[in-house]
Amino acid sequence: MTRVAIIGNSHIGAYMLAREAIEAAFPKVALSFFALPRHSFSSCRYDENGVLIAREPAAEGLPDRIDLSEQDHILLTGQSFAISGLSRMISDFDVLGLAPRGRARSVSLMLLTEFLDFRIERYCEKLARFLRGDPRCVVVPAPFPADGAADLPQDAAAWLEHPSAADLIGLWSDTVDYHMSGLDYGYMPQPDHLTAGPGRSIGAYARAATLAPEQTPAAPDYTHMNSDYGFAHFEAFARQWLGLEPECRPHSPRKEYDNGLGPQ
Amino acid sequence: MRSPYQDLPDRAFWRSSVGRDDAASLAQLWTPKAGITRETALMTIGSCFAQHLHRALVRGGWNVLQGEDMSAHLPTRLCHRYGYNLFSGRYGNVYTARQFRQLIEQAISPAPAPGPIWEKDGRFYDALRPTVEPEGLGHPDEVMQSRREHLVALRGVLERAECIILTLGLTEGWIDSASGYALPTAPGTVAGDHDPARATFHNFTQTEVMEDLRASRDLLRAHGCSARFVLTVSPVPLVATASGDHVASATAYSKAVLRAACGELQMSDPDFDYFPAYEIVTTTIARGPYLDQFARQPTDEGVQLVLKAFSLALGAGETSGKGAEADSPAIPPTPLPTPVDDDTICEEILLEAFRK
Repeated sequence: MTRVAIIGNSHIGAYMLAREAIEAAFPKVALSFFALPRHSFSSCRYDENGVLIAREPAAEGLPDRIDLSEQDHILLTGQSFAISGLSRMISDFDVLGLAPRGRARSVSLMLLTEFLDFRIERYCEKLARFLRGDPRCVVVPAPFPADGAADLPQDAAAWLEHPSAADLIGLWSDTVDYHMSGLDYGYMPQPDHLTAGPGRSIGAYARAATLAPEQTPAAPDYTHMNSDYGFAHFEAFARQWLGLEPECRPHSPRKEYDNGLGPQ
Repeated sequence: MRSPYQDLPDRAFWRSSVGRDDAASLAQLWTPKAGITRETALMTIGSCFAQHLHRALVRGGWNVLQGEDMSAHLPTRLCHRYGYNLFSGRYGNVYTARQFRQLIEQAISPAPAPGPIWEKDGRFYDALRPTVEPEGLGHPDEVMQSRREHLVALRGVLERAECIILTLGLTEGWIDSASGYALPTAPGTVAGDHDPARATFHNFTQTEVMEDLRASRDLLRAHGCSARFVLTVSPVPLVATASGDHVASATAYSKAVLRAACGELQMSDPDFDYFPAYEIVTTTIARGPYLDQFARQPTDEGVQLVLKAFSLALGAGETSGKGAEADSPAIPPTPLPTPVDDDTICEEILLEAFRK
């Protein structure tokens, strides 16, 4: 068996929901899950035996520790790579050289580039310290918000409506690629076939698209993905990093079991 | 027998007042014409030394206006690299009184004459503040857009300012022949190319400096801005001179002209006061001089002493962050790092680099 730990923040929910489908399609894979309290690296202690332990009570139904020494691969999911910094900058400023959006102030594209470089470098430095550069680890950015995410706060994903979204997301992605290439971890950007365009996921993958009415949160959830996404993303991971092909394809991996892993 | 000196205070006598840095002596270094409190809206502008003053005043809890503030978005290092939060506006170093005057003219004019734009390696620079975009911009239109936004922000700062702390640095400058604008640095230093037909050297006289400062004040008054002025002279010597003189003589001339202009305005015009930062840093007046090993940049100790003298003279006590912050909600909550000389952004330094 190939043992894979999927750890991270609330975004591990998509993989948990797809667990049955994944294990059916990849019968030689055994999955384990662990969510960092408050999505924070500092909320956990990584002891000398390779056990990652929550420093504070885990959410109900979630494990408070995981023994990573027993794992063959670690999939660290849901990493933001400071994309909120990009969002805030283009929410508050026009960018000189890109299409104007009527903001009162502008910043230069060079400044935005250096800003992203600074923020992402710092983020990757924190990542490097977490799990101590363990080469079993593959880091995955949080999925882009899904198509239809009209109600997102402007500073959460300001690039969605930006006419230069492709340039902006390209700049962010290139910077993440560059800094992750210096770490011992693997890095797996969101596969193109799971995106609907620059900086946005396919709408059908949104958690909002599959929740039953009684499960739908007050604000439709377009930032977390459903089990279809979890399966499709894991499949891409397995092909690229485990060298495994799915042995079968489930009829409908989309099953929503609300495990309390929604937006926290 | 009576002497006109017999009833003068200690501060009038060299032996009793010079060479001391105790609080009482520092407080006597300046007798402000008008009160400035921690709530007074201050605008900082000027040469490299004004950056030191700006940081020291902010750290000290004074109400320093901050136009084009980026402290909430960018780390300090990046703010400063792109000319933000070095002064009360993103105008870069304003070395001469003429630069200051034209900046005021531009800010209050509804349609200011466009400034020159320099090109280097396919990138474009605002010649009136060439270092604020260290890599330049992609198109001249972007330079003009950036300048328009800057002037709008500056207008807001000028309208709110109650006191402008202007640090004069140089009398030597270069004038763009086509526009008539005084440039902060010679073409070919940061960007552009030196062409004697397109930019001419000028060494301002005391009369010109005073005219420019009075004209600046008049422009502000005409626009309804009521700020008064506290003038200082930068203690930083010229890094190079184009006057033909030895750089030491050229520095002495430049500082003497600026100091004399400040003194004459202080004596003759109620809107202008002079604060002796220059004397504190460069002379023995307060146990100085406080200059680095190259006798060029003021030391941090010197800058702190300048601020201490400023605060004590105003009866604001010795400046310290905590109590001051409570009185001054406009102060950014994020403390700025201890200034180091290398952080001071100075086009003049580039002149030296070009010599190598």
